[in-house]
Formats: sequence, structure tokens, C-alpha cells
Amino acid sequence: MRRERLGRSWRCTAPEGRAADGGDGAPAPLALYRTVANANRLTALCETAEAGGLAPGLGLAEAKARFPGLEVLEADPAADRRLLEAVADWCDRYTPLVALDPPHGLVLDISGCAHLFGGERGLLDDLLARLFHQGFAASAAIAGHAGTALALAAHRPGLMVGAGAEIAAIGDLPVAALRLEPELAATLLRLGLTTLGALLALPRAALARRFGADLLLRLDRAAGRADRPIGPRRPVPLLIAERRLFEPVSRTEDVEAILLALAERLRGDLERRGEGARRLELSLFRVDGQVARLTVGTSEPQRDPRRIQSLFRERLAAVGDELDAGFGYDLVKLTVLQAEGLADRQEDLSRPDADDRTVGTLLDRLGARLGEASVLRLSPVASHWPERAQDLAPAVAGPAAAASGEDERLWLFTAPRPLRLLADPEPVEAVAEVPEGPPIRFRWRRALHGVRRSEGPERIEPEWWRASGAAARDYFRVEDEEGRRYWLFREGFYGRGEVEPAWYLHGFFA
Amino acid sequence: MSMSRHSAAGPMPEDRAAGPAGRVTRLAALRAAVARIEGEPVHRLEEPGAAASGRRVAQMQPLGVPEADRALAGGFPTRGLTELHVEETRGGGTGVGFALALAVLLADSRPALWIGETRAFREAGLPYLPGLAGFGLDPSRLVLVRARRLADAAWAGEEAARSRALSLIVLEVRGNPALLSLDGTRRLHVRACEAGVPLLLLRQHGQPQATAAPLRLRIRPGPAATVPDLADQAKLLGHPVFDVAVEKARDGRLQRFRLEWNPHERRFQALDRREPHAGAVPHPALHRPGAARAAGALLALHRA
Repeated sequence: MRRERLGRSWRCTAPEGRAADGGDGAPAPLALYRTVANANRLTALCETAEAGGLAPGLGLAEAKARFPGLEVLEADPAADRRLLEAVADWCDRYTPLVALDPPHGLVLDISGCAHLFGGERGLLDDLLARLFHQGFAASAAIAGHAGTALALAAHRPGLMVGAGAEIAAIGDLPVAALRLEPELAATLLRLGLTTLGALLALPRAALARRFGADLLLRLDRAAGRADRPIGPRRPVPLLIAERRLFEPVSRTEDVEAILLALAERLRGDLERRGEGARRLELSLFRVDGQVARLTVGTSEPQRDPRRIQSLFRERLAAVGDELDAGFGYDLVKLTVLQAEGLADRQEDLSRPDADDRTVGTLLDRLGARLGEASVLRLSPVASHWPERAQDLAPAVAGPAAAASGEDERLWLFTAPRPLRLLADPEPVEAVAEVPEGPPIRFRWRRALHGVRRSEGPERIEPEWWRASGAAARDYFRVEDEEGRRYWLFREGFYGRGEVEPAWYLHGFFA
Repeated sequence: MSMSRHSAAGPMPEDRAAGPAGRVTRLAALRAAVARIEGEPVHRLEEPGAAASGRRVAQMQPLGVPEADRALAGGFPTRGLTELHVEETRGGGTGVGFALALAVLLADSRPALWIGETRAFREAGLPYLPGLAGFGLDPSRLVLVRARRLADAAWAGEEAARSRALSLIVLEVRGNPALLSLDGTRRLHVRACEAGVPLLLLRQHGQPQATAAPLRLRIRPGPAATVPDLADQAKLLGHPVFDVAVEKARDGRLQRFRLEWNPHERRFQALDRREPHAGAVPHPALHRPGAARAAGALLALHRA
């Protein structure tokens, strides 16, 4: 909020005055409030407000009375969450395993990643420096267990704890490091248990009996005696290739060139695994922390860099102007999200252009440009209800041209079906000669059609095993004076029930 | 100007080396140049080299009905662009039926592609698999492209026309968009010719307009044929009938013919030909009691 107004490196405690850009000197102290139990209470404070003696939990009216110049805004947890997720996106540059720890924390699993940034210390410094330049006040700690690191991050920032040293490291942390319920924390303080060391010294059974199992679990996690699972936000990729750029790039051609180099690197890995990629993701990390992600699917396992590049070229062209390069990307990452076995194949010297003879290539290109949901295959469904008798599935990501089973060919034994079916039957005004008979004329889309010939009725009952609430339909094939052939149906019966029967047009015959 | 053009088109040494086929190509290019100067539409001319190499026969798919094949000068072209017009969207089933009948005739191991706009599909209905199967088409050989915008559909059409992996492409549009006027159709035609793939531009309620397609047909529905064995039941609907008007052709003759599609035998047939059905007379049931005899007196009552 204030970041938007005063720029992203806004700090309450900035030493210099802001006369140059804002003109109103030091900004007013800021507080956020939320309605808790019908009372507006402060939830977060800036440094100036805190120094003035305000504390979270105070009533809004009282705070305003004490500081008339206080600027108050309502807290927006959803925006906080979005910001945290954006930061988590950005943290993907360090490790693919990033988990949220709401409301303000992130857990990064950096096993096997630290050496890429000059060791754990180097990674920690790099992360904090970059976050600082983006205007975040962050603190971090590294430990063998996520629970230990979370307990340390707030109270001993910058600490790195090796395996086995957890208990010693957390011994003198305050109880608040466990982030207990406020009542429980207050009880512990009243009893004189101020540090984790004091808690650890007590017998476990008594602790659990007195304060519940949750406290023990949190304590064990902080002490490294129990594992805190890390739930990654995004699917963990099978393979990653990335390139860090000293000089940010912004032109699409440059991105494509880098992409080709990354795909070359992935090809070696895929060949060793005997696999080809079915789904790939390209992540573009903008200098200012935004991350753009593009995904393409392939209809068959693929590892040829040129084809991967051409698929992403279509995707980039489809995204077009929506992709804002800003000041450029400084990290490009290509990941394989899904792969399948791909047998090596002998290339044919006599047919070098065999590549564009395969349907898969074409469908992949179409799917990459238009979206996978736009390229469809029809597959039969064993149902007699007209709307349900077919299924449209993406041709790209789905199984490659599944053979239709014999038992699903119900329609071969039914009356003729139309070539085109309206997704929703359209109501028509129809006049029938006899109550249950075919229509003699009908009005559809404001045009009157006289029926010359007709066949029917074919009664189709809804599927009783589904609670669809649909009524039985009597279908008629009719031909109008011009020779156009339609599929009409009547829902309901004359003289039975209180609802008048209604006529609908549902499909078109050749 | 004529001098310079003549010198540019004069015989070259490599031309002689290429033999008669090269000379024919050269001649066709010259004819095209002359036609361009005289303002004649170039696409009315023969394909270069087609007549000499005898490929012309292979580029036509006979429809199997003499009248139609005469009107189309040998059959339906199996490469390049063809326009099919339907007068109204509500008659859209007819145009699609004709296009799909061609897809059945031209089917091989490669799939057919049907490209359309999302909104057009919503207005005129989505392809319906049971109906397609009953029409004679193998639905697993059909891929559907549902483009959000017309530009996307046109792009997909060009992209598909470049590929050799398809047996037939149907590009369905509404009306006469500027994107698919003379320029757009020319691009489609050239690409489809190069790849040797038939491309049908199906226009719903399309107006006659300048097009690069060598052949333009207007498809109207005809009254359906009677059911062969129940010819006395005039109310029943038999095989679909297409009333095809040739609006533009290479030889410039305007023709009109009628075709009936037989979905069971997967072929077109002439309207008047009626073969008696071989299995028309059912055998008497062996293990069942015979049909119940009519009891009582028969009254001569007519149907209402």
C-alpha cells in the first residue's frame, strides 16, 4: 500500500528525509487493523508506531486517541498471501522446493543447491541482499531441520546450524520462537518457563499432560527430533536446466536462443534416462522479482531441442504482449515436469523431412499456440443420452489416439444421429398435428420451417442412475421444405402432468 | 518493357538440359506472365507441368457419379483450396455433410482436421461423434481445432495446409471475413498445393467473392431420398441428397448436379439409380412361432 505510494524501498526508519520525492517530510506512522470479535484491533505496526509505544492487539480507537496523526488501514490478509506467493515464486531461483509458512514465512529446501551459490553462507547472503534491494525486511537461518530453521529465523537471524547442534542452538531462544497460541505462551511465561532450554529440561510426559501434545510436537521439531514436512508449492520437476545472466535479456529472440541451449542440455539428461519430455515449463525471472511461466505439452515424448524451441516459440507468440519483459530477465529456467519412455530410433537418411509428416508435430504446434484445450479428439462414451455420448479430450496431452472399444459403439445400433449437435438444445415453437405426433411446422431463431417429412418418435429416457432431473424426450427427424434436416425433440407429454410440453431443436443432419 | 520481359524469359542453357518437362514449366510460366499482363486471372490456367507428367489424373478424386465427374472435369481436386458455400447457417449440416463425405472418400491412414471458431461451433453445433460414425467417418481419424478468434483459425488453417500429415483439412468460417479474401485464400491455396493436401474452405452464408480457389461449389440441401425398400412410405427420410452448383471452375462452365451419399457403402451415388436390396425378403423364422394371424374380419379403414 505505502510501497505503491512511496516506492518499493520504503522504510519508516529511513535516515534521510524524503523531502526530495514526497514533499511531506517523514511519513506518518502506519498501523493496520482488523475486526476481531466486533472490535477493531491493531494487527501490524510500522517501526515508528512501535517506537511510540503502540502494540498489536490495542484497540483502534485508543490508538487514534493517543496518536492523532496515525495513519490506519485495514489489514488485507489476501494481499499478504499474494505477496508471499510472489516472493516464493521468486525464490524458485534458488531451489525448486519452496514451501509457504503462512502468514509471513517461507521454507526453502536447499539440499544439493547451496554449492551453486558459493556455499550455504553465500546463498544466505545473496538471498537476503536481493530481498533487501527489493524492499523486504527479511531474516533467515539455515539448519538441518525446517523446524529449527523456522525457530531461529526470527530470533537468531543469519545463524547456520549443523546437524546435531540443534538443541544447543535453540536452548536460549524465547518460548515465542515456537509460535504457540497466545494463551499458552502467557501461561508458560507466568510459570517462569521463558526459554526453550527450560522447556527441554522438563520431563516430556508431564509436559504433554499439562500443555498438550502440540507443544511437544513443536518443541521436537525445533530441536530436530521430529521432521517438519516441507510441502512444495509447485510440482517438483524431473529435470532442470537454467542459465543465470549477468546482463538481463528482454528480446524474445534472445530468450529463444537461450532456450535452445537449455534444451540441448536437457537432451543429454533425457537420453541417459531413456525418456522424452511430455510437458515442459519455461520460467522467466524478471530482474524486479516477477516470474513468468509458460508450459507446453507434447503429444509424444520429445527431446529434440529444435522442436522444443519451436513449441515455445508458438507459445511465446500466443502470449504476445501479455509477457512484459520490463527491465529484462536475469534467469531463464527450463524444467521437465512430465516425461515418458522414448526408445531410440534409427533416423532415415533418405527422408530427411520425415519430421513434418507426423501429425504429432502439427498438433503440438497448434496446441502450443492456441492452447491445449483447443485441439480436441472425439472419443465415445457408453451412454445413450445424446449429450453424454461423446467426450472431447485434448489431443495433445491425452493418451495418443486411444482405440475405441467395441462395447462403446452403442450408436451403431440406434437410429440415425445428427452430424452436429447443439451444446444446449434451443427452444422452438412447434405445432403438432396430433398431441404425441411429429410437428407440422416450427419456428426456430425467428424463421418458420414447414415440416415436409418426419420420422419418429424415438423416445430417450434420461439415465436413471444419475440424478440429473432431466425428463424423457421424444426425438423426431424432420425435413423442412428446403430439404434441411433437423433433430427435434419434445420434452414432456400432452395432457399429463401440470407442465406443458416444450419443443427443442438439438441437432443437424446432412 | 516487352523487350526486357522477353529477354528475361528467353531460353536458358539449363532449360535445355532439363528436357521436355522443364520446357513445359517454362511455357506455363510464360503463359502466366502473359496472362498477368493481360489482366487474366492466373489461377484459371493449368498447373505448370501437370499435364505433361500425367499427374493430373492422380490429383482428382472421382466422385463415382458420371454427371458430377463431368461437371467437375474429372473429379474433386485432391490438392489445393476448394471453397464450399452454404447459403444459411441453419443449413450448415448440409455443407458439413458434403465436406465429411469427401473426407470419407479421401480417407487414408492420416487424420482429417476440422478447424472452426468457438462461436461458430456454439451457433451451428459441435461435431457429434455418433452422427459422424453413422455417416461413414472413422471418428478416431478426426481432430477438431476450436479457435477462439478468426485469426487463430486462419493461422491454424495455414499451418495445417503446410503439413503433409493430414488427409483433408476443413476450415469453417462464417461469412466473408476480410482475412480470407483474395490474399488469404491465395496463401492457403499455395501452401495446400505445395503440400499436396486438399483444403476445404467451408463458408456459412458466404457471398460470392473473388477467391484464389480454382473451384467454388455452392451446396444446397436436396430432399432426402426415399428409403429403398420402403419407397411407398413417402414420409421416411433416406440418404442425404446434396444439390451442388459449380460457381467457379477452371474451364469456366457453370454446372449443377445432384448427389446422394450412401453412408453404408461410403460412396456417392446418382439419384435415379435404385438397386433392389438383396436381403429385402426376410427368411421365415426357424425356432419361433410364426407371425400371429390377423383375427376377425378385416375392415377397410384408411389411416387418419
